[in-house]
Amino acid sequence: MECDHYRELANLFLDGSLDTHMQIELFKHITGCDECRSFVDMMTKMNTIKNREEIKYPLAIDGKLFQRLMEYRIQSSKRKLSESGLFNFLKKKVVLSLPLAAAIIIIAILGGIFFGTSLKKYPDENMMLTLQQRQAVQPSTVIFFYELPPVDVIGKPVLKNVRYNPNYQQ
Amino acid sequence: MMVPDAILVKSFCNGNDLAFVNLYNRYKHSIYIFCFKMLDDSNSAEDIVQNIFIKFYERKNQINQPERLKQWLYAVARNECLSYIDKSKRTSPLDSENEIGSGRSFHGQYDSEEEVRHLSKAIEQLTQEYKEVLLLRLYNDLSYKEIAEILDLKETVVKSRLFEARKKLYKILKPIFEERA
Repeated sequence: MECDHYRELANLFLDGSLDTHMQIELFKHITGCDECRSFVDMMTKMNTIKNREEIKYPLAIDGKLFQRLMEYRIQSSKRKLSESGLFNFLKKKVVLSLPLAAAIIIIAILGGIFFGTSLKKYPDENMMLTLQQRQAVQPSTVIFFYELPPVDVIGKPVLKNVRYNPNYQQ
Repeated sequence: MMVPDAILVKSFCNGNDLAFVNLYNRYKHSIYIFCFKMLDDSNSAEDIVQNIFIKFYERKNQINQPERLKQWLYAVARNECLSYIDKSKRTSPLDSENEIGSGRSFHGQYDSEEEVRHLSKAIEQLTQEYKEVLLLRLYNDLSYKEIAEILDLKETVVKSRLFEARKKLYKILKPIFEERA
């Protein structure tokens, strides 16, 4: 039991954290105690044995580590680029509410029907008009569209319904 | 004069990679020794050292106390070693007759070499809790306080564990050295 106390002191002594007063006490004990002296000797020897062992640092680690770090940097810069504005915008999911989506579809369908029918009204005549004819009918087209009385805006008689007449000649 | 760790860590966090290289050169060998002694396998120790410094590079901004980088590195090293041991135990039980000596060289004659082998084998026989404390104190020369921070223990516990580890080591080595004498 007494030896256990001194070995504890020896433990602190080996770590260099035993004050001088306690060191004297320890050395007084170990001069008369073979077992404790053997313990201190063994532990001191262990320190010297440890110092004889040389563990070399493998130089290959440096190359491998910096190679891995380079790869990590490339990957992280790629990741940053993909997270930047433009790519992020493309990746973003456009979330539309259901009624809004339905309204857009309905408007698109109605728009398609309206413009489709207006274009198909007189397709053949339209196709047969020459550029000159089209220029001639342009004022009354505008007027017709707004349902206003025909007005001679270019100093010539306004012609009605000539837009669709393929035989019209100015 | 050596630049304190905290300044180098802050510089590294601000994008100075040279500060990282400086810190790596400062700690690589001692961390390697700790891993090598924990695992007694130079190849695994090499891999673990790389992993530790890659973690440091990746998580530089997560280090809250730059002045305790040393403790952080050792704590990561310890965790990596323990998970490696755990993994290798699960896949294939550790061979107790592992050849001790690879990756080492010796200062001195054959007797020194044999003594080193005996010491290494004796440390191998210690349980994990005693082994890690002893390695950090004996081979890495860390203070009680530093060891306590690494292992997340109280200093008194570190002292008593170290004492127990030395007593166990003494028990193992005494008959061997008495026989040789």
